[in-house]
Amino acid sequence: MRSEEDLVRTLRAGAGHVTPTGGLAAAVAARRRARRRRQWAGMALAAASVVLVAGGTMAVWRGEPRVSVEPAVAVTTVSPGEVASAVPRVAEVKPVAEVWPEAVFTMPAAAPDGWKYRPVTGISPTEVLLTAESSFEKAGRLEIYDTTARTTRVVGDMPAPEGVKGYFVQDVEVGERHFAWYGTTPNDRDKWADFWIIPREGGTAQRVGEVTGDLANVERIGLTEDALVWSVRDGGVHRLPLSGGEPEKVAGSDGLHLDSWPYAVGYAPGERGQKNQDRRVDLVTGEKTPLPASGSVTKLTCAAEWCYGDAKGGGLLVQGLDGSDATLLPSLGFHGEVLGDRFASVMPVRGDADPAKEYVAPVAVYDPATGKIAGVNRVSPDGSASYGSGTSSSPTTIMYWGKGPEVTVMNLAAVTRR
Amino acid sequence: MDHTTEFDEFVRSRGDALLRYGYVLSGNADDAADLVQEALARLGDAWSRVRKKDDPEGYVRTTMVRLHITSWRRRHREELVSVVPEKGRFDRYEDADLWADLQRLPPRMRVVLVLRYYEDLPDAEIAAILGVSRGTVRSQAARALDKLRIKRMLQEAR
Repeated sequence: MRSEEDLVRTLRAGAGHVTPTGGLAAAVAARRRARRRRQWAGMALAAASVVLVAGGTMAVWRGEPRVSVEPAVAVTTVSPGEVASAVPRVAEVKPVAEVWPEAVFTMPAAAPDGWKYRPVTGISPTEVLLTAESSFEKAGRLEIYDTTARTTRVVGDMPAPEGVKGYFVQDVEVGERHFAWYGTTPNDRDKWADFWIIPREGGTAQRVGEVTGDLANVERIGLTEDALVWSVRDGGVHRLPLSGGEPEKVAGSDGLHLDSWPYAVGYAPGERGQKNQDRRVDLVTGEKTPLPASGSVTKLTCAAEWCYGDAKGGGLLVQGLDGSDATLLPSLGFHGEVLGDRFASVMPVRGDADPAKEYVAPVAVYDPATGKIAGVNRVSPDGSASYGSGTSSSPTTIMYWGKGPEVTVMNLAAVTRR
Repeated sequence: MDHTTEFDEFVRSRGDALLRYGYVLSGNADDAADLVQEALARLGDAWSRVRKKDDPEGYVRTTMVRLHITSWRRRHREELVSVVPEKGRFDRYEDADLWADLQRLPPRMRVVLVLRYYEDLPDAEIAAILGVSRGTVRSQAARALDKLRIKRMLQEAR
């Protein structure tokens, strides 16, 4: 048996096993420059204290938001090839409950057995897929919440494969007939992942297979008629028949990253995290759509009809897939994430708005179909705010917030194009 | 001293200690460098405010902890400008063994142990940093110690 003194000694000794090579100040400065390029001056302070979180984990921030009250969102239409440098204006954002009341509801934060719910995505305007977690991020059950009946239905268990330690279910995908997910062991260095499906009407989960090595660097998954597909971090899409078998590469998918099956995207060379998507490929038909950036942008990210990017000089650039109809919204910043089939997750410029006196949104959603902007949650008077995004593999329709027995959920699948 | 100089001075004087802290938190050099660089970049952006109101070292350590436990799920690591090689051996074989076991703990459990036994923080403060209850801290620590086969002695004092 070891003692706590052994632990103290080991931690202290372990700390000495890393050797600084110098250059930390330069590395930090480089990172700050990159951050400044991403966020324009008016937002830097607020954003600096945001703990941004990938996936579904609740993002909590404690910042001292800067403030203001000024006009609404200014829209500038720009012609392709010349995105003007924008003067940041303060965004006037209304809470989503006012903008799209049909998309907001509350639901229990936990199942009757105490397992906590984490929304995955909306599978219809009135149904939300959920995972139930026995402990932090330990998803063990798939359920569906019906916003009309205000009831949940269990789809089935999400079991850990036998003999695998430290197993965590990752993202869930919605297919025509099945739900699918993959799991990894994120806390060890093994390159390993496995894939599962379960019938949408409910039943027992079936393991489709497991992979190791680079194939296990799963980025996103998708479902076809008869196979589970996934892309890996270095690019390339692979498939595994639902009936079992060996993984094989999807033809023509070299260097591509799955968006939402059958679509995959490729990136132009650039700085990591800043790259522009430059092609969108239908992996079933092989049809390739070039995605020309309209002007000087980074993070160009496209959904089915629209693309978003961070305009040089600040602002959210919205354009058609072919670069047409480019519009600059100077009071919004792009988070780099598309929600559902068309929405962008955006950061509104707050100026000097005081959250104790007025509504300030920590994050907002932009709908290119209607031009509406809806704020998610609110920054509390002490400057804190938290929210989470759904954990689906394809772009989620969900953001959620709130503490206590009820959580507030926004399901963009309920938002119409009018 | 202007703000920039002050911040640079902070990075110079505390950088190595923070890097070691990142290494204890995460258990590997790349993550340690990533954590310390990201947390310092955020501190730099918030410097004037933090300098006035809080203790910058506490701010940056808390940021590192939160980044570490919230970002493991799917890490989108930025390019690391400066890579830090690991070196060094434990004097005792048992310590190397314990270090290896620590690597296998879930990040949250490991973090609780680091805050308690490396940072020597009381459970209430750990709870505040992690945004959980004191009871959760205690149970996570107890489970972690059990996993590591460490006899609990100090717990009652906390």
